[in-house]
Amino acid sequence: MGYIGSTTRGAFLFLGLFFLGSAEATLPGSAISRANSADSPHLRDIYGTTHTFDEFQDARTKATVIVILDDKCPVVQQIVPKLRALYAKYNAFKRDRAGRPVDFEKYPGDPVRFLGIYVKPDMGAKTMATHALEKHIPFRILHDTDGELVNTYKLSRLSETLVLDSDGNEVYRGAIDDQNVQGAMKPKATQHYLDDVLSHLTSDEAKSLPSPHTYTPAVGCVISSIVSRPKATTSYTYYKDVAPILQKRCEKCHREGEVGPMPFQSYDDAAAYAGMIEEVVLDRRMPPWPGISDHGFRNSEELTEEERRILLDWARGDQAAGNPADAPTPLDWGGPKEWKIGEPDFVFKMPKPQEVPATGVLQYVYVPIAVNGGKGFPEDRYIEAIETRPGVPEVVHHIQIHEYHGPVDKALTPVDQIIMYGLSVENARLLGSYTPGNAEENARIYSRYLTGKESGKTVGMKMSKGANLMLELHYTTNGTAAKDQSSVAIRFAKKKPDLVLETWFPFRKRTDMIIPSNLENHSLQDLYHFGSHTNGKSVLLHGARPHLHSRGKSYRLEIVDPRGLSNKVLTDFSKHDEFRGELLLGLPAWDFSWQHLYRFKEPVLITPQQALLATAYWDNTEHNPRNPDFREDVKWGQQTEQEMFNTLFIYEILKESDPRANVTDQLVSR
Amino acid sequence: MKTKLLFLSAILSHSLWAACLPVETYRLAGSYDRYTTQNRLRFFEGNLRKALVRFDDQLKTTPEIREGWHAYLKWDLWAESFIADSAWEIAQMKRVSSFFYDTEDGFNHPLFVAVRSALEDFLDFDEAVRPYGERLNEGFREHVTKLHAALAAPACDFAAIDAEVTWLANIGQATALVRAVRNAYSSANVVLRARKSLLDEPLKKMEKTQSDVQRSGNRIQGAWVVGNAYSNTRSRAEVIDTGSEARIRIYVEGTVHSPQSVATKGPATLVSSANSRLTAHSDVYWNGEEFAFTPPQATVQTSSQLRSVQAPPIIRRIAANQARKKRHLAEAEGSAIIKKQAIEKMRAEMIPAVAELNSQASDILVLMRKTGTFPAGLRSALVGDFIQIGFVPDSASGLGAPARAFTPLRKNEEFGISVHDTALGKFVRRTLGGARWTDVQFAQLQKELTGSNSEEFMIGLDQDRWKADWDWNHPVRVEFSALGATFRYRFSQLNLNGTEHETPFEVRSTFAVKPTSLGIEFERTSEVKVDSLDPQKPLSADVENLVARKFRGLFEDTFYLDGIQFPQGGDLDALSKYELADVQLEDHWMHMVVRKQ
Repeated sequence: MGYIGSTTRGAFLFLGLFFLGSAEATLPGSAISRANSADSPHLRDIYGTTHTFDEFQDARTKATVIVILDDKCPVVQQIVPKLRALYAKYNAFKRDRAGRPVDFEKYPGDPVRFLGIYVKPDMGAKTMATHALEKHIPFRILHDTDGELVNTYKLSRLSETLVLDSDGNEVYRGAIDDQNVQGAMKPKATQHYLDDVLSHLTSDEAKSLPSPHTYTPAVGCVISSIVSRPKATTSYTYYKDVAPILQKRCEKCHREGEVGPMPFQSYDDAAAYAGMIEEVVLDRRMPPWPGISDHGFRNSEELTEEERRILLDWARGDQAAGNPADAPTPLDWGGPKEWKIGEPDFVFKMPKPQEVPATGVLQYVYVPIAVNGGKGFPEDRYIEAIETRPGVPEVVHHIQIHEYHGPVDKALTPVDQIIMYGLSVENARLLGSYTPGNAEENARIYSRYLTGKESGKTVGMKMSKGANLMLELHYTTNGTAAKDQSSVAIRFAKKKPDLVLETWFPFRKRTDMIIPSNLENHSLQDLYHFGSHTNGKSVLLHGARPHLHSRGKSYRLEIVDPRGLSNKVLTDFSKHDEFRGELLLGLPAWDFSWQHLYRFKEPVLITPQQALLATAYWDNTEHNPRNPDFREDVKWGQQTEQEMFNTLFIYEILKESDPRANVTDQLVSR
Repeated sequence: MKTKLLFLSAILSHSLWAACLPVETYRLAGSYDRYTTQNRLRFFEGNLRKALVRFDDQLKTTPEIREGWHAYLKWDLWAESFIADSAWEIAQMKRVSSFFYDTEDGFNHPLFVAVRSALEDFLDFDEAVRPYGERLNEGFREHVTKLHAALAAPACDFAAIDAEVTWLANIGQATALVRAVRNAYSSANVVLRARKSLLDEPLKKMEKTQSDVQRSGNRIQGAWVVGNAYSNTRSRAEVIDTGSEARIRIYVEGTVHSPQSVATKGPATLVSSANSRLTAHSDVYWNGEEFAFTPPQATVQTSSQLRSVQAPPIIRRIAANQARKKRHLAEAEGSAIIKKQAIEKMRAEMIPAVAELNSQASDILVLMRKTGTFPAGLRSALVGDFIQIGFVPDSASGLGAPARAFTPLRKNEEFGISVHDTALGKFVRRTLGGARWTDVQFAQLQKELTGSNSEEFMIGLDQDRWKADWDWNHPVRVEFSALGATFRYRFSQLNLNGTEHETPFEVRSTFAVKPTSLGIEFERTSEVKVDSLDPQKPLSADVENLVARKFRGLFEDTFYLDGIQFPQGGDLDALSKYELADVQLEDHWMHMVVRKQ
């Protein structure tokens, strides 16, 4: 009987419900009025912040659509494109080329608010955000960690939709249309329940809602079968099972004198924070590794599934200590003063301390540093390792080390600045940098870039003959005045290495960036064509480091065929959610605190027939917990409360003799 | 016959010249002088050879950098043969010429600058002379006729006027005519206007009050006068207009009070008091090369009172009378002493102050010198409540724009920038003229200007690789009209996939220019046209297609100058407070106004 039978059964069910008369009195959930604030369900966002459901309802929203999502359920995957289209239809507005609404001064927020709710307890923030990025879900997603929303509204199936009007009254629940029926799928939908309901709620004219529109069952998996929280079942102990993982994965930062807020070097430390360990491991917030890639990473900090299972199980269970004799040998981390790159050949320190006041907003500071008495080295040298160390980390937002060919005996003038950077700010040769929480980038050791196949080879980055150094420092005040004297340590290769790495930092001010206040999913794209940067040569891309500020929501970098991707196309905001190529790097939940340089498992070949398309999303609403001020339209700017959008690349130009240098058939299908 | 016709047309057009040049110019052309040509050839050749030898001699003293300079300038491809007076390749010299303009150290070294000037003179001359060979006199007539025709055109064809004056100036002929045209087009073709109040704050910082006590001892009216002098002075600065230019005038005003001066002459001692009122000023101005100041001028008015006379009784009355009688002479002498001291003090203070100003400006001035964009003329004026600074870029023609008045800035506008047709091309002439640009350089230019590369400038995306030689004299021209800006790019030849195509050609397209809150929008209003500049040599279809396609991609249908961005932080961040408020186009001029956000 297949799909016809199912449809018929469905139709009878609707009919039956219709004839029940005052159907609302008997519909599941219909008796539930909107939960009051105290009872409002708790939901966790992609950043790990908990909100109450009430926060997402306000008078300016004509309708709230709750839809139960999942990363595995096939029905959910089928309805996502339809949800995306409905979201665009009901929240559409005409934009200028910066993406600002052109019809009104201040964007009041989405007229129809969509909330994607994930209910699987072990989903975790990163998994949820990854699903949203991969399926390009443009609206807010939240995790119903403890099933409070599901219970409050008695939601029963994945893909189920619940619509509330502006007063929070339930208007509709069920499937979004009639295409999916239990066990089958029609070629196309004939009834568009959710669209009809939203049309009714957003119309200025009083329109009656076509029937049947009060309850049409969704057909995804039953929620109750997947929401039960897994119980700890094993007998893992701290000394034998947990301590080796903490030592390997966490101690780097979580030890005395390091940046982690608490040490994890003893049983007492770990047991005291078992609850926290459970939460951050579940969310995949710790160890911090927000990136995803189809190519995998060489420097991933992520736990293996086995490590994750052990930590979760131990934290959820009785947190047994076990036998101290099983403990791993303590690691020797060296003193805090020691350079992580080993013994450097040169240490360049800022000539004098930089005064950082207690309060206020500070401009970038440029400090030239003389190399070899200001003459630079008489020949090109190759950096084997470079480490940038802030003098007072509490006030240093970032440091960039540039090659500099201007005068070092005076302060940098605007003219020097323009010469150093060029008009489009691409001339700078970035040799090293410091950003908080980016241990590998702060101490860049190039031998780590060699793959197994290249063992025995030497690798480095060129520092040009005659070059001095320029430190670009961005300080942020923290209430206490400080004097910073940062430094950079460099170890040079003895001779020109076999493999020479380059950096490309296509960094430009985006005057066309204005992120409207109240907008949840503002996006911007940039296209990076290596061929134009390397005179038409193919490159092997070793790593990439994206950079956004506090309102950043997510980021993705794709390998695309650039044909047809003119500026006009890239400023079509309605197309930004579409994937155009292969995902090279994704940051499903952008976290300003963790700005890694992501190195790919194997360097990725990028030919001149390809380009990299970066797409960044920002959430400039009050619901973004990191948003300094959702009431302001945000422009490009260097300060953290403004926004940036750029990506640093580390690559290698393929030698002519390399057979991959002439590969031209690597076009990605579009 | 042809020559006669040219002259006939020149004579016929004579009556219309007044439209663009209100002087009788035909007579000024004079006749062609072949000796001038021969002398100039010898001079330019010898001058370049001498400059090269001197520069290389200097390099020989620092062998460690000589090799680098030789490699950079491709010395062995042209300079060695030129010095040795053997065969040299003009095209190679033209390609190298643009290498002499850059921002790096050494590019303003006098010996280096001497080479580049000599090279430019030599190539300018060669470019003018070469096409005519022995028939240079015909060329002369041809260009004079064309100049007359351009001057006679009702709409004033500035591009043609500029081209013909450039040619005549390069061969050093028709000097009176060239001078007359230059005089008529001597006004600035880039005019910056800034609200005077923008200078209030920096000028306020220059204000200071000084109090001083000096034990003085001067010989006045033959007597030694000693006593304490208490001075109080206040200095301030303001922008003034002298009638010929705007200057910053520094004023010093104050008083000198000597409550008790004792003058002793012979047995008589006179005690007096004096009050002097002092006013001094000096102007800071631009002398064409740097900031300078005028010699301080001061006026002092002194009034004194005799307090007591101590002398033997017999001469006391005489002494007192004498003192009263000579009081005005003494006051004048006292004033002169104070004036002299004030002038000296002011000069002593102006020297470091102006040196500091020059030091602050030196970065940009040195940059302009290195890149060949130092203005040939710079004029300033105070017009209403805004300061107007006009530039005339240095060029072979030496032409600026015709004089005009500018619409005053409106209330909320802080800056105005007006650019004449002739200006933009001249700014880039030295760095482009004769240079061979590869597709990569065009891609970089596109990125620098627009912030990104279009498909046509993604290097390696398609198989065609190309390079083009910019025209020596007029590589880029921009013509403004109320309808838009027409860009013309001229090239002398093109290399497509390794094959040279020697037909000179021009690419042009017109864009409407519209201000938006997110920068200036350029919208193409015409197709990209590619034309051969040699009627005898049409462009091959593949070259024409490639050029049209590439230049359609260089500036897409709609584009913004999103790439022109100053680096973040530092002093340049002050500029981020300003935004473009309006862009107006009219015939030959583009006006932009900037307001504070």
